[in-house]
Amino acid sequence: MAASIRQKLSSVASRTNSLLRKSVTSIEHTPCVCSCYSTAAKRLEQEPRTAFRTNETDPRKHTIDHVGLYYSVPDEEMAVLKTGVHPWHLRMMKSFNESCMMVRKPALELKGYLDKLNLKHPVPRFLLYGRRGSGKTMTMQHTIQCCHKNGWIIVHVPWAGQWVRGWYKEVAVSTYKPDRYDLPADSAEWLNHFRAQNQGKLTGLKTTSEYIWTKREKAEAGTSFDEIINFGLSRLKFSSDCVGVLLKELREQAELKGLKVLVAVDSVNAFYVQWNQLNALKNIEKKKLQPGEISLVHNFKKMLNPDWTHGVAICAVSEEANDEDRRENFTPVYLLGQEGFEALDPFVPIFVPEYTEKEALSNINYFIDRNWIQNAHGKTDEGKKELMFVSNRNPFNLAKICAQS
Amino acid sequence: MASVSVRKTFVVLNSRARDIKFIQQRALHMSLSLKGQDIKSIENDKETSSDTDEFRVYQIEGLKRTSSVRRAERWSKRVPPPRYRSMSTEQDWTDVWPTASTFKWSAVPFPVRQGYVENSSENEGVIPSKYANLELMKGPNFLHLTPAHVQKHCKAIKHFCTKWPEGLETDEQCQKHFPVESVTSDYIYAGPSLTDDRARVASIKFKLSDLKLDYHARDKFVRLVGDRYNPETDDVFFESNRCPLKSQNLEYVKFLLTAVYFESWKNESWEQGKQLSDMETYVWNHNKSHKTCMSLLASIQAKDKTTEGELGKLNYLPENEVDTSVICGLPEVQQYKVAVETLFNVGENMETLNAYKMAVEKLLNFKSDV
Repeated sequence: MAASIRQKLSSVASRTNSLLRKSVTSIEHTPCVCSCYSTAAKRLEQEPRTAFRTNETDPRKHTIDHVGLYYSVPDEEMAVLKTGVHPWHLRMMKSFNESCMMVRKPALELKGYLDKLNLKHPVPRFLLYGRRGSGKTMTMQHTIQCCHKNGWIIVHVPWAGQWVRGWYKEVAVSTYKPDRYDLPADSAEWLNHFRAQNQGKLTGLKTTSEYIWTKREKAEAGTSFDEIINFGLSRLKFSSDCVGVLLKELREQAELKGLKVLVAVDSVNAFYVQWNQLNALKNIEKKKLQPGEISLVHNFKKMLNPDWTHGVAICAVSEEANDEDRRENFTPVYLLGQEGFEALDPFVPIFVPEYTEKEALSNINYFIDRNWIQNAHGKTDEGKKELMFVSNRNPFNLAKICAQS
Repeated sequence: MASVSVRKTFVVLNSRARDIKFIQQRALHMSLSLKGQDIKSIENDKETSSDTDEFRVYQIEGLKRTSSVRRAERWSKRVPPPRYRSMSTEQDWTDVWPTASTFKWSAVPFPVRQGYVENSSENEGVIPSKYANLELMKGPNFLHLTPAHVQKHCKAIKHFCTKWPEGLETDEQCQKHFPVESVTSDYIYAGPSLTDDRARVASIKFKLSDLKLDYHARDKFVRLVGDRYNPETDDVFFESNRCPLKSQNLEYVKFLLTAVYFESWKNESWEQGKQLSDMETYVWNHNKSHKTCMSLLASIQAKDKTTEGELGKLNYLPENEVDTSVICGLPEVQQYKVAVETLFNVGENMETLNAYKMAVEKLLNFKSDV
């Protein structure tokens, strides 16, 4: 009896074994002779190509499809943008051996507004706002590049906070109005900056009225802009007045000559918010200067008034340009204060968000491509996720974290 | 190198030799002093035991026990085991812990730990248990307020209670029929004096929305009562302890309500001189935003008149010059007005900023396809 059972069991076992063996052989993948007939998806030899770059280097042609992609900026255009880019970003560009910027949605939005603008109306004001390090300045640079390519005259203030604070700065009583104060060095710096950004665009522009500097020196009506700039650079005492003259002439001639003027002011809230006693600019009597008392600021405020045409004003508010106790929020009315809001109102607020997941991934992939991220873990999906999480997808934080590791 | 080491050993040897000499001297001195003592004791003994011929034995005092005293065993108190060990699980807890009292470890039948150990060396790193735990005694406990206790209390006072009135089932109904809530307190305790300072405090609380007030009166009321008004709950709270009696204080807070109510309905002559900074809310028509908007629209209107073609014009503006009130009434301007007012009155957030953005886009005809 027992023997028979054992026999049966063994026969069952052998059958199942053979079945198993059979099924194994049937499942086993045999190298297909005719692979062209196979319907299975081909296994990728390497990781999928990470797309983070676009060949479209012309910012005018960027569309919503390019969002999150990097495009390279040629050197001659970088010379125009360089002064507005933050030094750490410039250093990074130098390390990467190329100047690349990311196409982002707020910049495209701004471009969309500019394309459909009626320039005969008083200057429209656009205000970029967003968290610290979210890319307000780079959005502005993108737009400046656009307008530069279109041949606009660019009136750019890279960092307005420079003019309202400082400790060892030369502050002179204005030669034009005694209750205003000049910053000769800053004005000269700006004149240089203006000339560099508008090379070739100022030819043919001449003043329309006479300006008397001193008893013996004056600029006749019809003096070219280049001469005014040169005068300001050689006679630093009058550099602030030269800035005023240029801005006034631009405002007046924009409509007459059909110019297109882009006014870009970064951290515009510095024009309207006072600094504390310690850091604010002071005159010789140690009196704290209001921003409006500084002739440069006074002149640029006029550029933001909607009483001239054929121009666009793009401003950005930043927390750093406010006093330390007024930095809690990043929203425009809070940063500008009542006075600033009333001066700019009605403006179009444009929110510059932090990176979306796609943009953050593109940024990380770009860093990997540039060998900026060399850690093996940083190149894995998990590492990328960690980087995104730790930086909260804030562009500046992401760059900072990647530079540390 | 070698010379130095040799020198060292020499010094060591030298010092040893000195030590040995010193020890020898000490020994000599001690033996001498011992001899002197012996002689003295022998002389003393001569008088006491002169009758015996044998050698006397030198008795060292205290070496041998002379008498044995049997002491009674010390009575020691036997500590009974803690009470919680003998408690049954069926017991009535309210009998164990009838009133509020300090934590008593022996009467609490559950394990509980309290305290802080700084490191593993302190109490072996374990938080102290309930035995003689001062931390547990410090804090108040609610062992006298368990559900069973409350049930017992309720049962005891139930026959004093009346039936809950009909029609006051919900809080809303109570609020509707009894809009003013007044709170007074009585304090009873066993002591030589029956008075308590705290007993005279009286307060009333009511919703501001229950009062009949117009815009001006409401604003004035809120300004008059100051921080007694809570804008989040819409409650006004008056409290007084300035009079010696409770009834006087209650009368006083009721008087306050009456006085403030009628005062806020009055319109004084000095209220006409209200400045922009005195405004309780942002009103667009009084602010600079209104002015700039009007002048901007007027200049756009003038520009549009001179230019030909329809492209980029503000179509909603009328052809001819009209009064600012007409322009103010346009839906685009109204939307903008509302947006600015909410931006200031509600505060800045993504919604209000986006509403403002949309309003400005419509107002000035900006478009972006992105």
